[in-house]
Amino acid sequence: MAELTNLFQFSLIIKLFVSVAMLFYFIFVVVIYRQVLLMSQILSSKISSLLKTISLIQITVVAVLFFLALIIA
Amino acid sequence: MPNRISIDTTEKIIPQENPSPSLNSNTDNELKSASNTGSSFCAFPASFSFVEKQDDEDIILLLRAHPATNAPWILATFIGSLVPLIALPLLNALGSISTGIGSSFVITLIWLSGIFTYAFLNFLYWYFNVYIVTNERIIDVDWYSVIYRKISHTRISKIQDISYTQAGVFAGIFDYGTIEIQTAGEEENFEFTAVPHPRLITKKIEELMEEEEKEWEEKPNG
Repeated sequence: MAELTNLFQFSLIIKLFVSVAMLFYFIFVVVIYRQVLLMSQILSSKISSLLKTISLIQITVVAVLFFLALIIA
Repeated sequence: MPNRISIDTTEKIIPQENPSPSLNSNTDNELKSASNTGSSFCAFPASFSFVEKQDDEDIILLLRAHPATNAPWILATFIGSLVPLIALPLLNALGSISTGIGSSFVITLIWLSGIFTYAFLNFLYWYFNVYIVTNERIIDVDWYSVIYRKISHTRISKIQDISYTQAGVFAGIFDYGTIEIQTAGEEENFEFTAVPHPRLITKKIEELMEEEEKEWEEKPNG
């Protein structure tokens, strides 16, 4: 019973750590998106819109992963 | 200290590959023929503009670091993306960790997402760190991190000395090098890092310096 409680606490700590890391990661990719917008304002090219789309997809993926980490991991 | 360009969000730099019709020297023809080395060497981009561009200013070169300089992070991305495919089954087999299918899947996705972000960020830094040479000025756009950037420029007439170095096997094979531009007075020196065809660029800037000198001799107060 004590071993089970320890295991539960350990997995809880891991989950907390992963969740906090994912939260920072999410903030980071939002900053990257902001950066892409700024870069595109200064140097616009054919691939600017593609880069913005990739950044948005990245934000979505990280948000989904954040919730997956909370539920599954 | 170099002058700073204020960033006006209403204007955009739009690089295009079409050469200008006014190719008036052998160097210009050489630049044109060497143009477009993986988007890192664009000579005479036609409809290209940037903030504070003057009416009588023509863009001569748009430069980035040679694509070969991206090899280390591309290799790191490739190796990093293989890590979960090797590490997770290995750790499970050794019994070091015991993860469920769901956890393994999420951990793999998080890892791959991180690797993608790493590659994307490196690409952005390569793509948006540009050097622009016009008939009047040189402009250096540097992005050091996601929150810090520096845009500096100096007039061709302020350039005192220009030299380039090609160090290493890859620099020789792919013909790229670092150009050092020394400016007059207290102005900051410029460095075009790992740009393709440094000899050609140096030659062209020297020609521009001579033109500026002639202009100054003809119109000292102009």
